[in-house]
Amino acid sequence: MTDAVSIENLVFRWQPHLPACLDMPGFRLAAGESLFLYGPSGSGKSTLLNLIGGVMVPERGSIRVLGCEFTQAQARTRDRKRADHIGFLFQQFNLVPYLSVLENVLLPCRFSARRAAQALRRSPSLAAEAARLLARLDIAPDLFARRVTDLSIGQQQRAAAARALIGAPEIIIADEPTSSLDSARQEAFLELLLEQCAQTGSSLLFVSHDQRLAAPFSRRLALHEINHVPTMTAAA
Amino acid sequence: MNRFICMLALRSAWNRRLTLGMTLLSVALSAALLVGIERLRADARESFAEAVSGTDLIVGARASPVELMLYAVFRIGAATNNIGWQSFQALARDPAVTWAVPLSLGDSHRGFAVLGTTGMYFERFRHGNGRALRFTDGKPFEQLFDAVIGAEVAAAAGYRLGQRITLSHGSGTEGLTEHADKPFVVAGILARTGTAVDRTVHVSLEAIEAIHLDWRGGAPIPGVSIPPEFARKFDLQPKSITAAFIGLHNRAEVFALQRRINTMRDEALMAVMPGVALDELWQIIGTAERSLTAVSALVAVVSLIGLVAVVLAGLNERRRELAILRSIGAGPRDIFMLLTLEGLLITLGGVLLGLGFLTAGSAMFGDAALARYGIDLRPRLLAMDELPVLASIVGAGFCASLVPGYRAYRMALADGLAPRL
Repeated sequence: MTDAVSIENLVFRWQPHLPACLDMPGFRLAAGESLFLYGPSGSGKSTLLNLIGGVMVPERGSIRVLGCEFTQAQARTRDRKRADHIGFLFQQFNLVPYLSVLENVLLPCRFSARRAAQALRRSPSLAAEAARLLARLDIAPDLFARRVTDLSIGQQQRAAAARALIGAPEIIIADEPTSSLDSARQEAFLELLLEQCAQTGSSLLFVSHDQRLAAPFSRRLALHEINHVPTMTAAA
Repeated sequence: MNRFICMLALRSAWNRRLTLGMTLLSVALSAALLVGIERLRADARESFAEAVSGTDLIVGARASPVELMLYAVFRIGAATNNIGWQSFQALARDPAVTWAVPLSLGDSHRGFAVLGTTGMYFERFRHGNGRALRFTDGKPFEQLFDAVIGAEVAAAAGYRLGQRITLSHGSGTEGLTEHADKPFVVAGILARTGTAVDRTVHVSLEAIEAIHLDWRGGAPIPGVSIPPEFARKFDLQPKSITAAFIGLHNRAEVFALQRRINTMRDEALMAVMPGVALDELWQIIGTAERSLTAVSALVAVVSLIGLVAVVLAGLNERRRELAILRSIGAGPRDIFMLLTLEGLLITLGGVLLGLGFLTAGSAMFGDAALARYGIDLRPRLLAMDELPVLASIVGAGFCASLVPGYRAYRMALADGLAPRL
């Protein structure tokens, strides 16, 4: 089976005259696995996520997402791959403020026909699938039509998870999604996320500086083990 | 998906409706100004042109054609010289001439011009699309001291048939000598025309002669007073008139007749075609119109700069939102489109709102403009010849919107999925 993500001899720098920010001889995210990637801030994890998302391209090396070589692909193709196959989940402010909770969850289906089609394979309508996911993530139905600003941070993060999961993308990338939650809710959220990823068969790349969260993942890795650039000189 | 981007742009704009609403309003006002000036200009021209629709030539003493037309048709200004009655009669007998209506100006009533003419005036005068004069009340003057008043005169003073009015010597409202000894009776009231006719008191040429019997050189002769009942016994044939309207059998002869009149040996006369004189007038006014248009175009530019500033300012608050859209799969082009669309939508909305303002404005002030300036504001939502102006506003708005669009595009590329705030 193709790896979800595989990286070889990758070098990335922000500007040609700056020192490299990422220098990764090898990294892979296998299909269906859940990987905890430990990375304190400044270790280059945002850059890594931008590279996997196809928003940026490395200076050298190879980065393949579901078998597609991003260094060879056009920006448009990379945007398409991201829309069709990757669900993103960020630290906070994951939702578009002027859309309702339900509309936020449906966003990926607007940008990707593939994810819309896959959502329709599970539920009779896109809205039904969004509602199903929201319900699974413990969002009460009376919140669906509400503005996202009416939700608590925890609810917002769960709605964002529903959005990342809709249309069963092969890869879920979570960047510190629990750091704005208190520890009791962190665990519950993590459990839900892992459960849903297992159900859709998505690979989960979970990046965090908090090693206490690492236990339930199938594999654990530290960014400094795979990145040969010293942490201090790495940007963002 | 482009439809979805449009929807997002709309929803996002609605979310910031207060600031964007203000911007929209400023675009709307500038569009209304730009189009409004254009409309006012067109309406003024049309109204002026329609004020002389049935007349082929206007004849007066030799002066500037514009001046002649202004006083003969619009009662603006005064004649410096008159036409001799003999010359007028010779003119009226010219084989090319179907009809000739004499006009005698100079007196006034409560600021309204008094026009001495003949009954033929009411038959021959045309306004608008060749519409004849119509009486709402009464009939043309029959008795020597009968007067026919325009709609505006009647409305301003609440005159009814049979009411007595006194004319003043000269024009204006203050310090005029009254022809108080020879009052007139309102014999007819004309329907509204939207032309200077509405603001005119019409009397017979003989009446003009009669009220000036005991006058010499613009003042009453001391010690001489001819009562009205005796005035009829005098020869009231006028010695001179101010101007004349002329209609021809065949319009093709207009140039030949004009040449004949302009070269008459006996008297220095001038014949002008109303259309040509109007064109000359518009040429004179053109400079002022152009500077007005230039100023309003500048106002439009200012409002569009404001638009760019507001959209750019909003962009910083929206970095997070744009990064979310990027993570979901939006390309930099989509982000570019989203921001450009916002500016374009505001411009479009502003133009539409501006047209709405204009329609409402002309409905509200149309009557006043007609009464006061004789300009018939035609209410219309959109005229075909306004499309270029509107298109250029929208075009300029689009170009201006490319600025925030491009900036968002650059930002999307630099920020990636995690904006460094």
